[in-house]
Amino acid sequence: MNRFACIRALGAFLALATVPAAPAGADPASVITVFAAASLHEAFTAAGPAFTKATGTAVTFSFAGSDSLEQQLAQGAPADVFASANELQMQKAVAAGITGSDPKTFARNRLVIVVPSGNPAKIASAADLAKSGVKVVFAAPTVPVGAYTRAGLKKLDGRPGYAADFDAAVEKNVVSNELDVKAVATKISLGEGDAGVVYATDVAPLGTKVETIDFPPDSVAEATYPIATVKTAPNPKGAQAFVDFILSPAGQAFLKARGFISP
Amino acid sequence: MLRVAVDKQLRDFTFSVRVEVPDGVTAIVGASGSGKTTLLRLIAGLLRPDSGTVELTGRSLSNGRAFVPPFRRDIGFVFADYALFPHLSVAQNVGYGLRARRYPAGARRRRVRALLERFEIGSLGGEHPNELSSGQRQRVALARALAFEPKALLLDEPLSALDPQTRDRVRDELRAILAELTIPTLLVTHDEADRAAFSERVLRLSAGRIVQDGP
Amino acid sequence: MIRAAIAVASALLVAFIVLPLAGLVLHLEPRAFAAALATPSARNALRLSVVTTALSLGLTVAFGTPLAYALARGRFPGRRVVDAVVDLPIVVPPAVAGLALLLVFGRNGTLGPALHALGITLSFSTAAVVMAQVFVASPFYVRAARGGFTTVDRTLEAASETLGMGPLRTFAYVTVPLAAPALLGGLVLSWARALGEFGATIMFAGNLTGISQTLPLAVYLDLESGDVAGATALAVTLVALSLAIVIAVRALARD
Repeated sequence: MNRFACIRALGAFLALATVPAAPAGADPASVITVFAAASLHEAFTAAGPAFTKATGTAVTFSFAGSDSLEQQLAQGAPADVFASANELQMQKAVAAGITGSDPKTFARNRLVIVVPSGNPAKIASAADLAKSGVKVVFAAPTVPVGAYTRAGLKKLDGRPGYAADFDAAVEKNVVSNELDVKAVATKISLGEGDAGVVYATDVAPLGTKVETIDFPPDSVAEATYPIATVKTAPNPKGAQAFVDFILSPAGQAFLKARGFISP
Repeated sequence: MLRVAVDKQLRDFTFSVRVEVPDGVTAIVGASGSGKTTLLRLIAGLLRPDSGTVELTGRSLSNGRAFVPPFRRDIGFVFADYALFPHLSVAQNVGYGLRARRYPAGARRRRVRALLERFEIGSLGGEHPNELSSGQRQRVALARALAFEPKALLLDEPLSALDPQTRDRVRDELRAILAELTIPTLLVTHDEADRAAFSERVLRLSAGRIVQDGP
Repeated sequence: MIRAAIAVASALLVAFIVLPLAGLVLHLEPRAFAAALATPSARNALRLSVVTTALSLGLTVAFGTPLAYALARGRFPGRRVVDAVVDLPIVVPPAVAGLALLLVFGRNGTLGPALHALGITLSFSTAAVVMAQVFVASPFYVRAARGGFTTVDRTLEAASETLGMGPLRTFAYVTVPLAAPALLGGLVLSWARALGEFGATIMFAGNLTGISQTLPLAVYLDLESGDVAGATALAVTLVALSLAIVIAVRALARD
């Protein structure tokens, strides 16, 4: 191919590559960005196409630890919807004037202990998390699941079978404070830690790589997930439509299918 | 006495030389690419022969079993472009071989000063090679090679880097210095005037073989 | 005309670099700065960053120098391949590097059981931090050193040997001094890269104060939890540390 033809081909390729691809059936002008907790990854990604089909609005998701997302919003990141894994981060968002609509709880989640398949450290119950030599992987305390975990462990202090400083003993076993719940799940599934705490909804995607152990009743709280539109949303109508969709039976079905508990 | 009997397969021909070099200056001439520099490098140990021996004052430097590396051969080498160390001063260059032999600092300084005087570069001790004229550099290279009283001296085209005027003057100086030495000295040159000036014995190389050996 | 264009382009780029860094410093509140640095986690992060990068640098120079020399001088089969391989960590994203290290050296990794048999567990350790740093940063040094060694005239090394210096002393007295500018430049780049390393560290070494939470991780975590003042204090410390390294090495180079 002579040089001129090459340049023309390159130019055509570049032109095509820079044109953003619009999802089928969507009005190209209508897009929303949803900032959602990492644990909502599978459920929301599945719900996205259904929402687009119903409303004609395309969705882009940004999944991360809710604390990280709240910070990004506070620094002015453009988004339309914020779905957090705990009340605390949503309250911070409200206090910072980030939210548009009133936050509404749209799902709940159970926390479970996960261990690598084969249970190398022989964890039988939550009490074993304080056993000496056990490598525990949690999310950082400011990440919702990390906060729920520590609050739950504290509630076990002094119960029959649990030392008075149980939560401190477990904290000594922590080898890493991950940035979000998915990182905890990955480390455990790779066998890098002996035990970690994730949401019940995070277990299914890990398949046979992990086993689960439940917390004693009335210890670790159920996670509460609030959702709200962002005040400075580039697409306020699309934002509200998404919130409505998630709260509707159609949206709820996606959450229930992945193990979330109804609000 | 330097005895050389080596073979080496090169790209264009087989280098094969048998020669005895007594004390005094022997000139090596030949067309470019005939193997003159190869001969010097084989003697210095910078090149390994395929087979054969190199022997200097009864000590075997290279034979089928053992190979003495260049840094243990005690042979001075003046390279075609002098190869002076640019990051070291003239004094440090000249004293380099003494430092290699771990002379104490005081003895080293004294010997370097004596050499600089002898080669008439006494005032240049603190200068760096890039500040010198090519004639001065040649003297530094020679002083450096002789500083540790080598058992043989090899010079690879020592005058080719000089302009014609300087060359005549330096040639006479070099001849005087080399005449005082009592070690086997091999001087490679492609200049007929050099050949005439330096020695009574001339070896002519062609395609890696000695084709002429005589005055 | 050309002069003006050069001046404008240069000024813009310099301003673009200086502005955010200056902004960092301007956002500091002196009292909050001192308070933020006094916390144990900040002190730990600083200590960890200094110690691990010093170790990484030592390992990089110790192993990277012979490698660079071999690549510059050696004539061995597969040299081109080794050359390309050594450059890989530069183009591989840090998180990918971290994952790769985990999959090989982690507890369940390829070498995991073998290491475990020797009583060694690498993941979630300070050793892992050093490994991550060496992985991502050593190529910068090797590249620069290789370039430096290539420029050293081999005739000078030959001359040194004819004068009686063995190969190691020739390397020390001739090769290294002549390659020094390149070596020091590579050192600075490598050190800076190790200091700023984040993705591979958090993947392989995890995040724990005093063990693996280096300055970059601490900055990120402070930011995540909303402690912007703390994050800024640590960020400025990181910049100051990097600046100190650059100045120190430049000063060394001038001697």
